[in-house]
Amino acid sequence: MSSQAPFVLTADRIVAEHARMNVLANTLAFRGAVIEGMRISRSAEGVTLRIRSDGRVTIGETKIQATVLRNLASIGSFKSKRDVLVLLAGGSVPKLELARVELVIDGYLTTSYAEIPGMRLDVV
Amino acid sequence: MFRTLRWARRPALRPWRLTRALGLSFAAAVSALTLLPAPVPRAGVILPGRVPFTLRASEIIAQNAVISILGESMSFSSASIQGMSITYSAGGHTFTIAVNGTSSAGATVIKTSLFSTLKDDIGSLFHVQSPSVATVLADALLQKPIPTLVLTNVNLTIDTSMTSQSIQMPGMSLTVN
Repeated sequence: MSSQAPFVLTADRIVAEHARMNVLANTLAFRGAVIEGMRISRSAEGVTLRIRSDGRVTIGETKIQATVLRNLASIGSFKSKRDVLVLLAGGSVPKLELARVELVIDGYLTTSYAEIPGMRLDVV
Repeated sequence: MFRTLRWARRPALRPWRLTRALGLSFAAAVSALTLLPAPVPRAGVILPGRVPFTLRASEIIAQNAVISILGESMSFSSASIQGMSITYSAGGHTFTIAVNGTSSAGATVIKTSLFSTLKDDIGSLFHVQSPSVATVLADALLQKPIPTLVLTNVNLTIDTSMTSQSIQMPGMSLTVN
């Protein structure tokens, strides 16, 4: 069930292992990933909660649900355009590389494990 | 009477002594004022215009913790955090980061204006298990490190920031409801 109050995950680069997508459920899953330049923000009423990391974030088994995944190519720059086709066809991509990612998450993000170096949470 | 006379007969302070005495008095007054916290909102009130987020945990065991009432901050060199969640409510929705397991944090600094009212309202922020509440409050006034600080039922409203050198969170989920 999607929320009308999304949060936004942006990243300079994401390298995910064994990525696969479920188009009907609007979910993207992978076994693990490294995220560089990660920022998560949630804005409402003119203020924004920001979560930033100044290092390489490591996450484990992850599932992201977001309506925007229907338009997969819009979330960032895929290193291999073929990966988009494989994911949309329901296949698995052993190593998915994305740059300049901006993912509006109106569902959820769950991960088995997250290691976030240089984390800062603040409200601006 | 004799004493009074003795005092009365004492010569007046020489100008440089008077200046020094006044200077010391002024310095003492300034020091005393510095030790007193600046005017702050009543206990449990955040700064106007801030939209805080809330850190909850069933238990935090922090090493080398320094709570500063004057600096409105808490820092520690490392900590294990059980039952951690961070929530941010705005626009009728709540953004939640929930952790299913024990988080490990490296060097961390939490800044919130609520620490300025710690002495009035410590029980609403957390329950101190070790050392005693009195020790924590005394150390917080002096910004003295506490080797091991154990807190339970943590419900800390953060209106400024939380920074951590690193944090490991098992079973993390981010949701908006």
